[in-house]
Amino acid sequence: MKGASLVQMLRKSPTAVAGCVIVALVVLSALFAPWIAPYSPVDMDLYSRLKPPSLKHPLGTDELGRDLLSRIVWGARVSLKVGVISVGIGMTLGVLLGLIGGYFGGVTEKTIFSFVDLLLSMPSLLLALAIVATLGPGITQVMVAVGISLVPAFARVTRGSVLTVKEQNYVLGAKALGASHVDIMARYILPNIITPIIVLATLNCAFALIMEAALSFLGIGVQPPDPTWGSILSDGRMTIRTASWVSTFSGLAITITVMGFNLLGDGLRDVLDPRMRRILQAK
Amino acid sequence: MGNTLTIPDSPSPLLHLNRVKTYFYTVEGTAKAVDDVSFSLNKGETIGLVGESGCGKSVTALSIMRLVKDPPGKIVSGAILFNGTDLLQISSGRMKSIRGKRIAMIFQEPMTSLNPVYTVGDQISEMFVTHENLGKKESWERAVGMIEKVQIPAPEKRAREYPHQLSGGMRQRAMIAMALACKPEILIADEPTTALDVTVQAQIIELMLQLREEFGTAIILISHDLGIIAETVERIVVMYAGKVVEEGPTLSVFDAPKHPYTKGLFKSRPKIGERSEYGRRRLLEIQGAVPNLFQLPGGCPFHPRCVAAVEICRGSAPELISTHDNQKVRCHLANP
Repeated sequence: MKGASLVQMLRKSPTAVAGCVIVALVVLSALFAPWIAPYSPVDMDLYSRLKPPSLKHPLGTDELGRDLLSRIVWGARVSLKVGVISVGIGMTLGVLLGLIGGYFGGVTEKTIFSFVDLLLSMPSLLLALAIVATLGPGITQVMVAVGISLVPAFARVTRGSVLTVKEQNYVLGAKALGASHVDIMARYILPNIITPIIVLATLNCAFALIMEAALSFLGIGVQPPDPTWGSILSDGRMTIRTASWVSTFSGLAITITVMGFNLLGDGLRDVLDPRMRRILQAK
Repeated sequence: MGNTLTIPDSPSPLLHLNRVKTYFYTVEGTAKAVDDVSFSLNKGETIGLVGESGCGKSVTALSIMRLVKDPPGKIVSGAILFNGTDLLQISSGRMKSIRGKRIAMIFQEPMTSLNPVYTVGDQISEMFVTHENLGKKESWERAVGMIEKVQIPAPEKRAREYPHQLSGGMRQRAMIAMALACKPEILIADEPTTALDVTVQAQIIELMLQLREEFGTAIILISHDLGIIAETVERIVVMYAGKVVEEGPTLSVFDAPKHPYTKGLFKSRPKIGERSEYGRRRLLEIQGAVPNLFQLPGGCPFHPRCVAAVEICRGSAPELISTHDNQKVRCHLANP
């Protein structure tokens, strides 16, 4: 599929457009944080602690007098980085395992998937907690932990699709014309199962964001004073009765971004599904 | 697979199947899909493999390619000699280099036989990249040349199109272009025209015959369409329940079928003009159904459906015997 036609298709799906716009806004604000943020995210102003939203501080200030808008804008950087990189880790490992297991079957598949099932049987937050507890707190550890907890989902989805695609006539046809295993996996199977994987990746970006927020909320993620949405949310919980805006706005940032990724994922699924594509083309 | 080899009858054929047995082991039992099949294919020759669905035609072809799905399938014994080399004994790496380059196979479903995510040109040029180590540009040019050879109009433009943009006939042409790209010595065509409409069928068959002349490729045509077989192949191999029941030059098999099954096949074919001559009649059929491969009847596997069956047919399985007019038949009642 050509890039231009993908964009044209996406434009015809209103949910995809909404998702794209939201994700684009978050990405832009993360990229241009130094210019957008009115203040430094870590500078304290103890004279204006817990100020409600005003013209001076559009989203108010937190208990140390830091400007909330600036913290949320800078927090987008960390949150997005964690989201994208951990999904990258989970997707690469998961797809590789699922592809190899599903394609070769037999003992290979059994070995790989008993390991994957072991991962799957542990609650992902607990798994991430255990990994961070072993490796120590920090942003890299969070990304690795979230990434590994995403592996089973990608491996399962990939394997399921591989099992259907590897029985297709064109795979047998390719074998009959001398294609090697690597050829078949790379040229015949992977491109034909990429749709559910892309959709899963966008949806899991949202999941990774929440995981990061949860780990930061629990205090084992990104360390203060670096702002992340989860840690801002966590900071705000002490003062939620008197200064609800701290938790509200950081929570909203998470909610809206997750929704953006979900909408984008749904839109991509519609656009990448050939049957849906025809319907959209007809519009 | 240590089997004694019998010397093939003609002077070293291009491909010789010697007592090949391919069984499928399932929970229901063992299905003898290909049971003691022997035949030969000479250089540049076209033979037809005929029989009902499930008689083992396709499994025979897949056995030659060593693409029988394992498990549950397994080539149990026999030899498949290609230019004197037993394909069943060589390494899988060597087999891979033979597939597509020296023996190519195309399948029934042109609609689903091409990879939907690459352009037709890409897929054909991949053949040159894989088998002849050519560069991208040269491969592409030769791919366009192949598309032209299989008579797809506007080859430059079509090469850049995806399979879903082509019609069924064009896709089968593209498959043929891929299969013949490296000028293989053998092309196995498994029901290449079944999914196409009649006029396109004729064009595809015509094309295959033309290309056979040009490339000198020997063809194994698998079909249940006797009309196509009659017009296309020089020799015909009739299979029933995993066994070869009759073999011979197309003309003599059509003129004088020896096996009751072959006779039945020819009788169950509608003939143009028959109705105006004799009036409306019921089309003759072979009584009964294809036997369950898990529970083949004892004796001759065809005897429950055979109109001429006698006591010996129930008791012992017949051997393939040669008749005086260059045919082979597996029937107790046939005269040598």
